[in-house]
Amino acid sequence: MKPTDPLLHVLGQSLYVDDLPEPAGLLHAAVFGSPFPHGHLRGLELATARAVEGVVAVLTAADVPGHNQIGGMVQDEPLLAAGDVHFVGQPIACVVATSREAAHRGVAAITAQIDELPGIFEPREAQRLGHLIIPSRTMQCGDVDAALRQAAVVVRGQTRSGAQEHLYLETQGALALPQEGGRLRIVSSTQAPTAVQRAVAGVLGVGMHDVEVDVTRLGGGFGGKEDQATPWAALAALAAWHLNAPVKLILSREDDMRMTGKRHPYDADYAFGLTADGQFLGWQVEFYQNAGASADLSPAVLERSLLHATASYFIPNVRAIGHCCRTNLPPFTAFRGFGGPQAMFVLECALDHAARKLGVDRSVLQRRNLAKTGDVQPCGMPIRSDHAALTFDQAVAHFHFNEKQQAIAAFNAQNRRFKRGAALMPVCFGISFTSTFLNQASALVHVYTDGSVAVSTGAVEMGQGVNAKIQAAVAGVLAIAPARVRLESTNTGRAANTSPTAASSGADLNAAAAAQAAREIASRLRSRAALLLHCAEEAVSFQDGRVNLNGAPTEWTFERLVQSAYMARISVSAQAHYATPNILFDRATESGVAFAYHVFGTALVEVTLDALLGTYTVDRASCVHDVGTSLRPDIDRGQVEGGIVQGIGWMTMEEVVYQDGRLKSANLGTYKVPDLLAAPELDVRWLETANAPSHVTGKAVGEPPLMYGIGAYFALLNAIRATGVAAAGLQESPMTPERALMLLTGDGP
Amino acid sequence: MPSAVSFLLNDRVVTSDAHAATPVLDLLRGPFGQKATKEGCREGDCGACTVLLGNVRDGRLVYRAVTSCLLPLGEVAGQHIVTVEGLLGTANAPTPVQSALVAELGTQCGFCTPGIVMALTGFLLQAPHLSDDEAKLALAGNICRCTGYAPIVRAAAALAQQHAHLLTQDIDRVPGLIATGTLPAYFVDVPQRLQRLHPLPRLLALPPGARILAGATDLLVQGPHGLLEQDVVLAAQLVDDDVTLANDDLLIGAGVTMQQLAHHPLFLPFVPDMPEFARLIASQQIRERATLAGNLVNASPIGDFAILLLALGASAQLQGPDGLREVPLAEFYLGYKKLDLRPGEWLTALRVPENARGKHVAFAKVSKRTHLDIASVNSALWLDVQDGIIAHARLSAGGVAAVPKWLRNASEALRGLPVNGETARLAGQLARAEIAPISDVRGSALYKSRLLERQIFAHFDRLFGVLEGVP
Repeated sequence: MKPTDPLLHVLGQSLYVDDLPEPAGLLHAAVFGSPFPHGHLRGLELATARAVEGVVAVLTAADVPGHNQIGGMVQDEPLLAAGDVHFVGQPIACVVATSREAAHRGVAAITAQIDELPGIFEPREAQRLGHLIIPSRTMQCGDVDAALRQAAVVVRGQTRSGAQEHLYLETQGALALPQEGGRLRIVSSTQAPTAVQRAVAGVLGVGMHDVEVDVTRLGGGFGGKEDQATPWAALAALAAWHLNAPVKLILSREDDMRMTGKRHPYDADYAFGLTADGQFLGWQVEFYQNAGASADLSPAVLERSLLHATASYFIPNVRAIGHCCRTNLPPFTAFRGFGGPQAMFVLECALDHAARKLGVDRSVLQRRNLAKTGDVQPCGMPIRSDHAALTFDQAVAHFHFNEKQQAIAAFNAQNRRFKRGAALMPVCFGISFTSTFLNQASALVHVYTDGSVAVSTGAVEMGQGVNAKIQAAVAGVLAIAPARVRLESTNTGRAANTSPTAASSGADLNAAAAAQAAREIASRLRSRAALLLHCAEEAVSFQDGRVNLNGAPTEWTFERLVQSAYMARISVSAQAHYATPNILFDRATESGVAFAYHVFGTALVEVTLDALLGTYTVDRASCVHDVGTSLRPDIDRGQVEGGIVQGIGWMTMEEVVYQDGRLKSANLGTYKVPDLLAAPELDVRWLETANAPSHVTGKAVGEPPLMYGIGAYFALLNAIRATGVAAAGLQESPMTPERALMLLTGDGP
Repeated sequence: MPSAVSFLLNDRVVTSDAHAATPVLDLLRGPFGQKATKEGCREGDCGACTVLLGNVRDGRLVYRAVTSCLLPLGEVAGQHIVTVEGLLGTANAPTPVQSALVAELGTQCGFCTPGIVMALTGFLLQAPHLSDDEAKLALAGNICRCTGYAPIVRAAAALAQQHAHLLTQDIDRVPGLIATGTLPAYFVDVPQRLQRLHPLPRLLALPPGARILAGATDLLVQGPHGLLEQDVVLAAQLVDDDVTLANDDLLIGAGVTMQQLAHHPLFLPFVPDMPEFARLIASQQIRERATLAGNLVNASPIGDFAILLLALGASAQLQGPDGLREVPLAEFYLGYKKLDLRPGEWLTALRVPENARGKHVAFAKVSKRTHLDIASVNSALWLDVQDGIIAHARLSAGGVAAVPKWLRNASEALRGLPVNGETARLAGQLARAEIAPISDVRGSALYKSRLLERQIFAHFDRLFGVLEGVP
């Protein structure tokens, strides 16, 4: 058996950045961050730090030879602060030393003279004061004002959803290795090698071709290493460039938690109009996105919120407004779902509100209003399937939703202390980068003369199994065993101008490109075989590592054919480029076909609440998920299961606490993610449908399942309400045991 | 103190002259070059650095899964440390644990995986029963951010089934696990090899200025830097780790670990539900190393065992230059992290009075996450009930004051009252009147007040079931 990633993982032989053999003369870097959320940097006292034993250099903004700028979408993020500081933990200086401990001692010896300025931490306040990163955006359709005037039922309210720490188990880090001729090789734990390459080239004032970025794998990403892996790689590169020595920078867990951004907290206002019998008429929603101190990916995250403002439903009249609010917190960033979960939470809260007003179960409103084929979304893109309703109905049937509701009602009538609750959560999630240009990928496939194959793409493996999917796709095209196909590290020298591995699209894009390259090679091999077998090309096929003639095996193996092609001076390598067809989103008009397709599914989440203590268990999460025709359903199951639990974490125990701009939940002792005992029983079923659309690897599966977790919030609300309390005020997640108890005691909103 | 520590690292004897407080994780990944063991949090909360710690206890080689980030070097002197590298046998093939994780895709990004492998191997070595429940307990200290745990649970279930016929509680499992390939063959010789190594020597007195590491599962969370600049001694050099009876009172040696006490046959008559309560306290990896003394002397206002032992009316036995003295725990805590502990004194044992045995005891703890979390509020209630009337009561609570709090007024007011819902309600109200919680990351002051009141209610509900319903 060939070593694959899972086998290397269990043997402890997978190498992450901090595990790589350390080159002679390796130096270690650590980062001094701003102690204040906002202020004017008047001076730095660095002499003490420089005198610390082992400290080799302390670098500041003045040491940046090129542009002191790493902003991706907006050039508003210096690598090292100069002039003003905008959040606690914002990098100001980089200490380089002979050991990690010495580097940290050096950091501790730095003092900064900062005139503190008032900070803004709430997005509504930032919006009121005009602190916006981009002009506010509106996506609309129909006439929402008229719809709200005419609606029999209108509910209005506010919601808040909290931040979420990625908690990738491997913290951010990079290793910068000076090469001959002033070049740099950087091993980075990044989802976006090209972003690192571009930022390092800019910071050093060199060409991108002078910077090679290499990624073998990440110990988890979840979006947290899309833009936010860049500063640490750039700082390591800056130090390596200055000192002409290899430099490693690995963030400690606490530095990582304090210095990097998380899932955006959102505040929102809504007005929701329905007919008396529960048909959705009008939806006005205003998102106040807490973007943090710089743009990072916030505008794109907000765009996805706007594009998911109606969640899984069809609403004819919509006005969705988004404010990208600049605050004095670390730049919030991509996190699995990328603004989609935040938007869906608001709509599900409003739906809950409307259901209470109409006196019906929320599932009645959900089912009645699911988007179906031909329903046009506010951006103008039509829905192209009925999978929303299909998954919903299958979930209701498979998981006996109606019977469970009755059983829960009976249980709750008999028990005063413990209450159960359940909620259905439909998900409709658009697949593609909403920045249309990012929907491209390239792949380089080499077949060696022994018939073994090496594939390079822009996809970064971070546990989601993209390598295995690309491997399966290429092996499928060449009709050879997957073990004969090896995925190379992701390297900017072999795959240039790559899009980040994000937006659930890593496999869609990169496997398509790799399959295309493999098809080119297969085509050349087929020509060669036709020549050798004296037949038409159409008569040649490949199967199980052999060449078939008219469907019957010949004595030609794949290996022998490759050898023959090589001897005949035919290239058995190919580079291919893939661009998702038929998508175009136009920001000027806020309209277009933003997505290649939508992924649908419906989950049922069940909980038990201790109404005395406010504690609870999430007992079970079941879903019917639309994965298309998957190349690796085993991997997809892992994505669904992991996504659900992460989503439940976001809705329940994961609470990021800032106080006056300082992170109070800055370690694993204070920030809790689901452990094994908190994880519910999971039941994942695939949508049963005769005509699943075909994609190279099956439908994208990385992000959508996270949003099933939103069901946990409403299941808990239902259980809380089973005690008789209204819980009718501001809806705020996560539903920690504290929030639950405050609702139960009447102290809550 | 000797300048070097020798121990068995996988199949070779290694020696380190690092400071005794140095976390073993740093030595593994640093000088010993064993990079399979991962650093995830350095506070025992993620389990990525889990290793097996083996030593001979009562003539038997015993292995425990522990987090190496909180394991001070001094403590492993003469013991066996097993990392993932040490599981690879001569056949160079994955063990059944590793194969099960691959088969179930119980590994995605892989960073937590070495810790999961070690926790599962520890489960097969040490769990009293190879049940799903024990497997979950063994894994409860390991965070996986990718899988949602389902495939890991499936792998554990498969392993338990696969090993069930080999293992019973009272047979040494090492030979059987070697036979299944779960452990490499060198484990056979480990007891003999450990005999040639030595723990740090026993001390008669606390060296002046020295800090005692009694498990260090909290001290190392605060970072080793301070510790590395002072002299330290290991608790094992000063105190016993036995649970014994003395005149019918229970004497708990200060070196006893949480795990030891939670399942000790002499302690269970005092707190019959202790195994259940223990699940709420840390994780198995931590309970295997955290000591009673550490938990008490650490003086955290939310120390779980401090709360429980306060309700049991325990006393601290202190040894010092002036001999032995005993202080009731209720008087031991003077202020935030301030103890009635004189210079040169150390805690040698805890005494639980015999009259605490066989009465009603309840412990509750609420935190953001039920397991392996620090309490927002924890509390305990001990009641001596005669003919339905409370003869004697002790209530204690954590997270509501600067110290682990004996709720004196509420305790005394309960005497002579009948056991019923009204009394429970009154107890909660009295308790609220004598606490002063603060708002912090673990909850608002109002929440903590409400929570304590309701926990006390829940204690009565648990013990007497007379309180069907919410106040």
